[in-house]
Amino acid sequence: MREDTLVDGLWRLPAGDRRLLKWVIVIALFSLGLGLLCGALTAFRRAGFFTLHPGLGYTLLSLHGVTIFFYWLYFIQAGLVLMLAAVYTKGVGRLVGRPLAWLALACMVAGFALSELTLFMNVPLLYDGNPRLVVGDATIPGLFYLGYVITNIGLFLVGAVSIMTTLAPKFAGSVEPWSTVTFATVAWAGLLIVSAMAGFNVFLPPMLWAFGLGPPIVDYGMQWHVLFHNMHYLPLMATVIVWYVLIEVMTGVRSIFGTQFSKIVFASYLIFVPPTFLYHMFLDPNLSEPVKVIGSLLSLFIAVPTVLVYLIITSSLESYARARGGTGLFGWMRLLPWRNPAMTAVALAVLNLAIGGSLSFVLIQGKLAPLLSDTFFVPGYFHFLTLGTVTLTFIALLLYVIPGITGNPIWRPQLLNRLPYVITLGLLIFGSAGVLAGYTGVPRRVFDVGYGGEAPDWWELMMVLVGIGAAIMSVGLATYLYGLVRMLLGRRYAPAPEPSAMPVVDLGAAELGHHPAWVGPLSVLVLIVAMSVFTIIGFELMQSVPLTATGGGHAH
Amino acid sequence: MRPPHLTTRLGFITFCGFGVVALYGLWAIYGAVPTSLRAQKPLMPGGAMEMGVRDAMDSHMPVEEFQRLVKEFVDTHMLADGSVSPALPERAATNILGAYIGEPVDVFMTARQYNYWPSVLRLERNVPYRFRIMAVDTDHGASIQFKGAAYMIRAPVDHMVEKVLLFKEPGEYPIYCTVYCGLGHDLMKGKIVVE
Repeated sequence: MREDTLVDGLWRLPAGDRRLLKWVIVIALFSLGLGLLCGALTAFRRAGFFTLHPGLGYTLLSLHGVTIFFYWLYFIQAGLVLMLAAVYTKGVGRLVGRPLAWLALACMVAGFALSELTLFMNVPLLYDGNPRLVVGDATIPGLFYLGYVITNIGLFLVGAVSIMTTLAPKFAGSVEPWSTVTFATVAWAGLLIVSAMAGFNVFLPPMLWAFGLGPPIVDYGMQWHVLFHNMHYLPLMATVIVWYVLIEVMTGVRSIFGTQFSKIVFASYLIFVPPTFLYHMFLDPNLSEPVKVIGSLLSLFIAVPTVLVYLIITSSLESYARARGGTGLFGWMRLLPWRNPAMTAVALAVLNLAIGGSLSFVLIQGKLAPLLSDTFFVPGYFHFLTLGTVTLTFIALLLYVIPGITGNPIWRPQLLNRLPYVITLGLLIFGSAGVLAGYTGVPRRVFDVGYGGEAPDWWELMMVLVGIGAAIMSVGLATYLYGLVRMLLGRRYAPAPEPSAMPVVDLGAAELGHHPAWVGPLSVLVLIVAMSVFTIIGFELMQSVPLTATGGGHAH
Repeated sequence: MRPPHLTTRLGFITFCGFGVVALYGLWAIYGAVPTSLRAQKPLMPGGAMEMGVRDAMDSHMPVEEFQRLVKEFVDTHMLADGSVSPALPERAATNILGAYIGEPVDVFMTARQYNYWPSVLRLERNVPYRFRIMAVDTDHGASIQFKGAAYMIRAPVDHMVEKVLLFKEPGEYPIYCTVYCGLGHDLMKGKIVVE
């Protein structure tokens, strides 16, 4: 009988910890629902399914960005990092400093409310809150920035409580070695703290300026992009940690490459992520040409940790499955628990990451920035990552966490098992149309892409496809939300053994590593080919433009 | 004891993990990155070779001064239909085929909520124009549309961006703002007519 750290550990948590986690998840799901609603309305408006006053359109777009990019991702990360710290740290079995965690949640909720409400009371600033857009009395924008600042205080406390929890056994004298998951959780919590500090750095000065307590903001863009970059990769790192956890839960498979190697890979996020933020700024005239070249070169390494974790998981799975009799290049995958909705969600999250990741690599090349940077290519590819990869993975973990802390059964597992396909189908339509639109120059953040009949006809057609894709994605995600809320708010509270609706397999085997494991390396090869194809399209389009552009100087 | 298969060795998957770096080779083929320690001239739109970053015209030009230059530019070159057509130098240097080979012709343009000024430019093909663009109220962008692809420039507020652009084919090329600049962002557009 293999160990079930997650399922058993969740139920062994003190009732107070489970109550806290439940509330964090309730608020996270509320923010996901609100963000989904605003995102769907934004896409439908863009597709021309209905009309809206432009101001309301930009308010919806701002709400979507603020709610999903900041609050859904921060709340759910808060809940999951606290949970993993308490459950996976040997010898602790609870949260250390729970009152601080409640304080953190209170700060984040207050920040959430302030950020959202102020969006209705002023010219929408989008999620990045560029202070240069503030006109007239700056008090309301000041409250918007205050919301972000308070949220970051909460985020800082979440990171601190998680690290305190992982360190508690060591301080108590019972020195327990950290598991890979605990180690990765500490790295995750550390990056949350770094993100919170970067958040103070970005939002505190404009808040003080808006309240008349500080000077005008001169270089907002650079500070914002440091935070923005961190916020990109933090959820991605969390995603691969969750894959690591779930694969062990669902199959009993652990890395065949050893704990030490996994720890090094998770730690490498701290090395590879921070220096690569420059690629968000390739169109910024402040950046000299040599810096752009260096930025492109550094960015090549951004995917290394994620690809390595993927390889560790896939090659370990294949190795275990072959030792258990799995055959064929892909046939061994039949041994995986495909009736488990979490397994399906993780598998499609991997696929979506491959698609989104290969598209994103077009944008790390500075020479292609003038072609694509501010076009619909960007939302076209990043929804594969935010929804198709990160959100789908977090939901997969919630399918264990919610029954684990409430004792409620899984809601309609067969239906849940189909939702990742629905969401991926929607993403494929949304993403293909969006990326194609971007390649052909459709700007992002514009509601009337027809430009009064001046723009090519196919632009509007692309946006209709984007709207259809968004509708399919929304149906899938809304069904997930309904199921998760049903599971969360039920009132059973009975001990939750491993739910039979979430079938697992035990691939534990005695002799590992002697069989080939080709799927991981081959899929990396496919990824490189896909990246190359998308990049070639970019270069060829760039060269087809009947324009010669040189120089890039600027002055203050 | 059988040795582990190649694909399950640590060194092999580490090597594969760094595989994405292979994209460098493709970039090098397109001349987008240096391929040796010697200085390279990377490929630019239209297959032209970049001539290097030009120095900014004036490192401390205030917005008011720039707007005065734009007004002077517009007043000097405005046509009857309201469009602006910067004239080539009277004694423009040409090669034996009659193509312009002189210094780039100056073009001044402001980006502001929610238009470009001048909003319609009439230019000649195969003539280099030195665009000097400044956003005067909030950040803006300028995406020149070529019906199938676009070329984008970002214009942060109070910075003068300088680009030398040479249009190789005649046509009407709309300009759309690509940086959200307020509620009228959708409406912000201009046009370049190349004759």
